[in-house]
Amino acid sequence: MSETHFTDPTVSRRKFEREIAEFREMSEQYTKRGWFLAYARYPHVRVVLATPTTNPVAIMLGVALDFTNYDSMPPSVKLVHPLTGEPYKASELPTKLPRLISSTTPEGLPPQVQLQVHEHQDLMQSYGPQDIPFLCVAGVREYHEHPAHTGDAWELHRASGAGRLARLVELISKYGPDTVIGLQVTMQPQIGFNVSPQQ
Amino acid sequence: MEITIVINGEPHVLKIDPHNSLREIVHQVLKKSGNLGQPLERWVLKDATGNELDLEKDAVALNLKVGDTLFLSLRAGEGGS
Repeated sequence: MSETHFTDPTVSRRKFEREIAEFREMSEQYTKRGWFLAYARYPHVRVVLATPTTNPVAIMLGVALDFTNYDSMPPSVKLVHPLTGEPYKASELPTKLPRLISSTTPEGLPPQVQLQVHEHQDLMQSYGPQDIPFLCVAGVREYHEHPAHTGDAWELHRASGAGRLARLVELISKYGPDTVIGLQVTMQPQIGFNVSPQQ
Repeated sequence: MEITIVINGEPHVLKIDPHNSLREIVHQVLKKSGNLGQPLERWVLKDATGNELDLEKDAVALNLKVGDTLFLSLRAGEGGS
């Protein structure tokens, strides 16, 4: 990730402030979706996402965006701890933002067996469990800097708003908190001795 | 009737014919906002609670009311590789 400013910081800051102002303007609606603007100071933003359909509501993750050089470059996007802002390593992610690619029914199964095979692709990508993963979609700095995506330049997406704050939060919400349909409790029974101490 | 469509976070107030399909309305607002760089299929329209709306339906069928706010944003596209 480049921290060098090669875009006029005044221009970049003005565009950043527009993103924040528009996000705040819609805050009533966004709160209903479970989106909370937790921190905003140029060039950094942190949005916290909750699970709107669970009871109780749970804060699932934080999204940290870096708008340095925006919008000559798209923002950098990372999933972070919602309270501390510390980026998650791949092994710590609460979700890898799986996207369903296809659902197929295998052929040759007996009619009483109902089986569907779901193929999914994780939007959060990394090289190893200790790496900081990145959101691998167009409109994100790490995607366009990746050698595999040199044919999909940022300039092809900039005008349609692919790197805008609300669009990126919408994507993460769709494949993250919006997929949560309930809370899961895992209990591990343990058997031990209940002793009555003797004198 | 007048509704607001928020395109990638930017609100646009729009007068619509409630009998037009949402597809026509989306095309109308994208044209008005100068967002013609991506095909219509790459956009997704949601209501205030995040439910994806069927673009073939009209405002009447979806029970949209004056002053409602809808959210239009780009799909994920390629990636995750």
